[in-house]
Amino acid sequence: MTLRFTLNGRPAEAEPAAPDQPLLYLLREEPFALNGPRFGCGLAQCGACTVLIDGRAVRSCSYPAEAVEGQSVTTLEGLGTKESPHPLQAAFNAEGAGQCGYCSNGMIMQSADLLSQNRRPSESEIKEALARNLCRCGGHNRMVAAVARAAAAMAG
Amino acid sequence: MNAILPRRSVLAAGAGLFVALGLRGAPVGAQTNLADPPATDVDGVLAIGADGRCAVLTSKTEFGQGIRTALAQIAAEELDLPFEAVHLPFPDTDRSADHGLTGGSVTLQVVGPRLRRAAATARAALARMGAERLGVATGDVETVDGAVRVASDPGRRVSYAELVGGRRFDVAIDPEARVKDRAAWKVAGRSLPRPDLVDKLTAGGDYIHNVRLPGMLHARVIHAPALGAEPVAVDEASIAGIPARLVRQGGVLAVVAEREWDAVRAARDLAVTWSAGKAIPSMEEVYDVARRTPAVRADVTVNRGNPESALAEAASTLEASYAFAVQTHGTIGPSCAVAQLADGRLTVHSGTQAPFDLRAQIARALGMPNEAVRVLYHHSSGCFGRNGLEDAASECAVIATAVAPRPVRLQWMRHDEHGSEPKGPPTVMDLKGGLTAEGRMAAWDSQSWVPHSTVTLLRTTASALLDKEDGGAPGSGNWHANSNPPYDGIPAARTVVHRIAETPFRPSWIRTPGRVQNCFAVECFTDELAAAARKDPVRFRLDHLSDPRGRAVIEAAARVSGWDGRPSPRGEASGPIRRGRGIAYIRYDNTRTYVACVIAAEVNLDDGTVRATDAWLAQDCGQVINPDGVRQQAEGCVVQTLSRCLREEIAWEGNRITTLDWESYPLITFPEVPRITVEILDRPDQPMWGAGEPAAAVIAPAFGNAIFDATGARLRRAPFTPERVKAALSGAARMPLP
Ligand code: FES
Ligand code: FES
Repeated sequence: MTLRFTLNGRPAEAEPAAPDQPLLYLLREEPFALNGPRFGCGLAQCGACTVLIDGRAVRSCSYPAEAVEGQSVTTLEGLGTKESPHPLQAAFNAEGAGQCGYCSNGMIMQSADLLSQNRRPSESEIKEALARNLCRCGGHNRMVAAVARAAAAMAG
Repeated sequence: MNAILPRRSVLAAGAGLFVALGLRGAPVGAQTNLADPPATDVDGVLAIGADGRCAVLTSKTEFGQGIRTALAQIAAEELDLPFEAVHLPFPDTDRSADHGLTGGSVTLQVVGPRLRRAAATARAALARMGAERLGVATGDVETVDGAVRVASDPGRRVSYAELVGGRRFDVAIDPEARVKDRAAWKVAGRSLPRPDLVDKLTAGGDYIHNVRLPGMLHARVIHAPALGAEPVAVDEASIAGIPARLVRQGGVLAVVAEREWDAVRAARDLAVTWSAGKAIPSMEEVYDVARRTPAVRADVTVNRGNPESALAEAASTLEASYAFAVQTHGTIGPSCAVAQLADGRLTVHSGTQAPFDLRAQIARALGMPNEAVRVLYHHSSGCFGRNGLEDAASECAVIATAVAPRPVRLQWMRHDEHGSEPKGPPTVMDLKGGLTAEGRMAAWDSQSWVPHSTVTLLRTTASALLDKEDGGAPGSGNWHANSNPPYDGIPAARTVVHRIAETPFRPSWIRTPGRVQNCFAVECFTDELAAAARKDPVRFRLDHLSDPRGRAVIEAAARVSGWDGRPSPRGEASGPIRRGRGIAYIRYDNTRTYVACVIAAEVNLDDGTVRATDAWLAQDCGQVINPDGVRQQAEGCVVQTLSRCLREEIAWEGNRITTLDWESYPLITFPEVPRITVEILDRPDQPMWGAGEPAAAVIAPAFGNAIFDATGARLRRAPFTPERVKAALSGAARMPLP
């Protein structure tokens, strides 16, 4: 079964290994070999694997690849690059919001979803939006500051 | 001139010494140059490439602590290079200097000064080479931005790349090399951002999880669901429909597939019958069992005066027991490794904290010579001690031998990490204290029970499964640290640490090992004594402490928190929410970094939930290389340790761990994270000390003391679950409010 979808703005095709293969494994293997979405739990409990599907944050470890047919997937790579980062990526860097950084994909993608719904979230709205994203290194407060900073930058 | 000694006097013979230094060396990067370099040699620590960039060669690894940034700052500073011109190649046992494993908050303390001397030696050598090349006296040149130039004629210059780029220095590190004064620092001492972060925020970063080699297979291991269980029967037919194959080597049971998802579902579906495994004490019994377990040895960590008679003569005495739960490192990205056996050489990619030790362990377990194994480091997800990374690497190496010459990637699943990585062990401390009639501490007597080990390596899972020794020990050491009260004003004190041979799970180092658990007991018990004496907890501590740097952090924490001096508990009642504040203090290992922390807490009397609303931390880790790096580590210590205090506890039934995911072992969440203030007491003229762990030690006691201040309820077992809080609120652990 060949899946057709849009990946980071380009048409993509893929052949899942099995009908129950989660999207995360599809994105991380050839030919895409993406590094942005990360494996953390495979149980929709941590957020490390988050991608945007049609603009909304989705935990790709628990999203059947099959369901992506005809949808538009954006990963961390599609959000911005080192040379031309998304305001969230720039803000996380500026705030030093990430130690090992493993969780940061989920934090940034979840925040991208938040900012698309709520352009100027309050501190507690940011915390609520990220309440189901886990970080072991404890950079939480810097991440909240980074999201607020990005929101301000995007609002111009 | 005689400060720099050529390592090979033959090179120096005849031609001018410093010409030889610059021009005769072999190219940098050849394996013979950098493999196993003598630690006393500049070339073993740093190299100037043909492009003029400086590589700092170290086995120290980065998992978010920022140490590699700080090391780069030190090298850049002493070499007069821009920060961007210094890089730290990932540790590679074929190329890096073995500076030992990373841990114990000692990287900057130990490697920092050595690197500084090496860089200063190199700069002096460059100045001399440059002067010679420019035809002036050494005293007439200066080093600026990667070049040597004539001080009076800055246009006459020669770059480091021209002088030594791509070649060896061939000089011993000069212990007397002149290092820069703090006042002259341009790169060190500043909050420079970590260069690795932006990659992690965009393309995904060079994590071990992202290593992909051509033709790479995917593996999953199947770990025993119960402690000590072994596979009795494996039904290969159960995965007949999946394109995956079984690998069994000794006790290592794994599945391998071309595509990762096939490996995942084969491991999921494989039907295995397991033996019962070994019996272990229940969660409730485990602390008592520790007290009864024979000790390999007892360490007396302080012995002053006669505590027995001092206790007998004390005006009042207290006794209490403190216990700390079994915990997991909680790495967000589960352990992962990639390995390949080809042409007689085994290459292992790992996020290990100890590349050289891992090489030796794998070589020994597999019966290969050390030289036949190469370990390459890649970034890992924060691992905070010794999690499953080395185990995954050792297992992956075993699997690689079965699928050679193809490379294979082993990714642990979440249940592997929660269930099979080594754990923070259960610890318990029994304390007695005595007060004088004036309310001073007169006596202190404690006994504690912690795991024993003298080896800094933990035996890997593969070594155990293959039934081959790998030089690792069954347990981790260092749990005795900070088991003593930090107050020299207690005239009679004895603290005994029983180091027991066995605890139920493989005991591992976990951030701030022993000090988190010991400081919880010591600093909460200090608070109990202060409350019994009706003294303000800050004043009480200062009254028993002479060390000026220790007093300074306590005073700073009190100042920035707006501490209201009065005895605890406060006894203010309004509605179901009670608020209080607590303080705790440590001098890490009694020899280095000082930290004090004040935490403000809220307790909900109805449901027993507790929350820290603010944490104010004061830290003196000596000379500071990167203030924001220190701050980040301190913030991380606060958040992570609060998480460990709130509800982190590995649970088990029979001999099976039942907390195998984040649902059953929840971490702190964003709304629960307090406001954090970090006050750094910079000591520019003092040696640099570690900052990655010390702040974690004071969090549990400051939090527990704040809960006591709010309610009069004393929590003596971590984590502070609502059930335990409610029990303390209604039980004997509660001190009547005034
Ligand atoms: S990996 Fe998907 S939520 Fe954890
Ligand atoms: S930065 Fe390490 S898990 Fe969040």
